[in-house]
Amino acid sequence: MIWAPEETYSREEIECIQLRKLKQTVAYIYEKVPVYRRKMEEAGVKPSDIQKLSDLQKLPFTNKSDFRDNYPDGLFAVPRKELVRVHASSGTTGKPTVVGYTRHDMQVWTNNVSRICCMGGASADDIAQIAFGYGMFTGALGLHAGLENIGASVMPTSSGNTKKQIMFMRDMGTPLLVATPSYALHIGEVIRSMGLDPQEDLKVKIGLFGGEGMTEPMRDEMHRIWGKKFLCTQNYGMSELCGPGVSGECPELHGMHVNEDWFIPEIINPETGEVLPPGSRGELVVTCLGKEALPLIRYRTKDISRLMYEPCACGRTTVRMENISGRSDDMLVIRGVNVFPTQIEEVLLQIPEIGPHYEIKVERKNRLDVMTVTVELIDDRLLDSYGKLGELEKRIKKNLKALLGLDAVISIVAPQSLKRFEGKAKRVTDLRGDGL
Amino acid sequence: MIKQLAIFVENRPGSLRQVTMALHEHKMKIYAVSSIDTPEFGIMRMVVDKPEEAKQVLTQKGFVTRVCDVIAVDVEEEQEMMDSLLGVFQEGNISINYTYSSFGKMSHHPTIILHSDDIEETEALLKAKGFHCVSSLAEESGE
Repeated sequence: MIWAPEETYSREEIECIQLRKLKQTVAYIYEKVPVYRRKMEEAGVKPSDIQKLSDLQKLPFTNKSDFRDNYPDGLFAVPRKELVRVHASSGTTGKPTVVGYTRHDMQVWTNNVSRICCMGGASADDIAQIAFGYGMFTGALGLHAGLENIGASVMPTSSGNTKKQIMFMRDMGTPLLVATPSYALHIGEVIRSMGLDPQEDLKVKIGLFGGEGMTEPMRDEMHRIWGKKFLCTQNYGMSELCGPGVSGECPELHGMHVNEDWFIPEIINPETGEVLPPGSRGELVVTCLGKEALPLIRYRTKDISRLMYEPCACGRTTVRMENISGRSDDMLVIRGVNVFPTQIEEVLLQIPEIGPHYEIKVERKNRLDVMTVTVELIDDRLLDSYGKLGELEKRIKKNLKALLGLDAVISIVAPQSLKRFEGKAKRVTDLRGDGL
Repeated sequence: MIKQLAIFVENRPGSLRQVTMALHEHKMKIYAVSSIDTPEFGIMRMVVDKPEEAKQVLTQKGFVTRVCDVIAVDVEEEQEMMDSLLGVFQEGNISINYTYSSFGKMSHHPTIILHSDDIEETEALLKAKGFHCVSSLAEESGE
């Protein structure tokens, strides 16, 4: 089912909507957000310079650092009174990235998520088990609202407690699962380890996956574990843009349809910032149209993708973005949580007993991401007892958990044993490969 | 009371050897060694003839090394010595943090190395109970 007529508009109609909304959005931010006005003045561009869609390229980019520099709400275009919701995701250091929604923004967001859910095969008949972590993360509440909006019955099980997830799945006959793809694989394996066959013993037939990318080998594995008929799609979003609801896969499984009447995607060369011709692979840049609380112009997502304008057999005419094939920065997605090495560094530098060098290793064990942080011991006073060393390990773990919300394995090694770098340090080793 | 070295070692083959090799290169004598099994890292504890110099050598080699006080009790051959020694700790309600023993090549009986939270008080108590607390292991090793 196609949720909104805009998903099947002709290219001319889509572009006409985009231009109208772009002009409005640019005039709006110029008036309401001093940070944008200053950036536009520095770039020598006025709202009246936006006359055609390609004029978008005249506008300056917005970066994650703009959120940090204007923390918490310097990019907001409305007073706090107008906000009905606030979410947050990780920032590159210390402070998170805070995003807000007006009542109208919530309606738009919800409808955009509803489109994605319908694209992925959801309907009013479904019981939707949401195994995303609830909280400041946009994923859980975004899918929650979008699914409720189409009339599905939402079960907010949140993430974790896998045995209980499976109990609900069996007892309620859950047909639809929302999770990160790696958690869905983990749940599937636990089901199999209980001697059950998801295909025979459960009714799960639709998976709406997000929070992290799903590679094709992961999708194959998903079918192996959950059964051949399992329709598993992934969708894309990030809290800065609204959360989930930017784009999603249809059953053709060939790229994610962008909700183009609300988002204009561009692909740029991450080094030069130059816009690349259609079909090129590069960094995805997204302009949000018509957002009231947090309008965003040319936001650099750092995600590497490609845009496909060819028609899709599903009947939608919206452009599709290829599944994300990497990042142009060093952000890691660990158990669906965005992690920047700089955040980890900040925590470690505040602990005097260890040196400034560190290494981060990310692996997948039992389908779950495991992050190991290796640090060098420098304070000999900790050698008085194992208890003191253990206490150090616990303290590092606790501080990382407080900032990232993630459990890390801490490995303490002798000084000088970690590799030293002369140029740009390579402190992160991601062994997850194709995600399995 | 004697000085003990505590050295941070990683749990991988050869890591203890690197410590003993460094000491051997500088002709230092090792009288007692202890290390226990832990999953990630270990603390190698040892009594050597020149603890401060050994710390310098090891620190230069990149080892985190600490020198601290421990009690060394000369335990003669009688079977019940160990039991009566531990009895003193029990009666005094003193926790032993760890214990290990020296090689005692020449004297044919070992020296027990002990660590508790208050070394001085513990040693005074042991002496009052008639135990022979030594200040060097050199003679116990037959030198």
